Amino acid sequence: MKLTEYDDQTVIRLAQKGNKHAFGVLVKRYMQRAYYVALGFVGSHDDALDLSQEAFVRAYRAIKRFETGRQFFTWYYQILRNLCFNFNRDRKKNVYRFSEMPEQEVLQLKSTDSLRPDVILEKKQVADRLWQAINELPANEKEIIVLREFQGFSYQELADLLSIPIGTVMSRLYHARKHLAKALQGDL
Amino acid sequence: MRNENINEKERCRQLMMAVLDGELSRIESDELQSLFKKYPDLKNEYLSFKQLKEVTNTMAFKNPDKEIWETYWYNIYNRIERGLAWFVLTLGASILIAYGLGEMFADVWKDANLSTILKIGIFAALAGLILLLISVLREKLFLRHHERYKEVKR
Repeated sequence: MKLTEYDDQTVIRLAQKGNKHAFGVLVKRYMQRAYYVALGFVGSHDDALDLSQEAFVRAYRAIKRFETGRQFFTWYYQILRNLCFNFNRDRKKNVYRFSEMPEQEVLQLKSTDSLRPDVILEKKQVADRLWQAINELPANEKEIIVLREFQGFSYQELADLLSIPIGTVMSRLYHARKHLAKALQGDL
Repeated sequence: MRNENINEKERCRQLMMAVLDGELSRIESDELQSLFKKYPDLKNEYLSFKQLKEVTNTMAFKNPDKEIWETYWYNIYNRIERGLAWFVLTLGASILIAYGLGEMFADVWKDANLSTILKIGIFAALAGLILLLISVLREKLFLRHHERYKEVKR
């Protein structure tokens, strides 16, 4: 049986015994999800790549402390989240010159088929304003709206990731959406 | 009565989110409809959320170049390996420095040509340097174990 065919728990047990390739299987399973979560936090492709990889390195170093039976991604998410929060905090402390500010296209249209160029342009502008509005949300609202809208996590998964009850997931989403609807009033 | 209204409104808001995200059961859907009849202002709010949802449904995170997935694990593997290399290098360098300092202490102590005051000066400077190093290391280790994420909002 190939390593890739084993379930998470078996692969984790092998990684805990020092098998780097077993850990590689975990990385390959979750790398895309990890990257997009980091992108939601930091809004820059290069930084998202770097932070998600660094979080995997830290996860590898701490893998012996992982309690089997838990979900790997829920555990990894805490490491990644802390790294991204620290990164954003440090970025705020640094005085950026205007030209150095990270300004990248983060959101894109899922499909532009059968759309006129002027409609595409208009929708791209809405995407930019939406991303700007998301960035102005309080940190916990930004986190939950990004995980739900662009990562597709279910309420149960959100509750597990954020260690909050499902009722709180829904209330937090309500407040986030209320702020976003207000910020995008003219675009809706 | 007022508290009951607040709770009902909060419940309605939660159900509004669940219906938008496709997480509502049939029974909860009926409950939401009856709450909408009671609180029409929330129904209007729901309609604006629905419009927002329609906008976000058409958008996704921009995909990175496909090549990054091919080298993703390779980069992590290198970082893990380099971490070990740095640890071994630091350990080796620490042993060499400690050995060198020990030898230097012994030589200075035995050197009859150096005056006592000069020996005391050299020992004091070195002792201060060692204490500083220990202090910095202790601080780093303490921070690593206790306050690594002190400024992180949970």
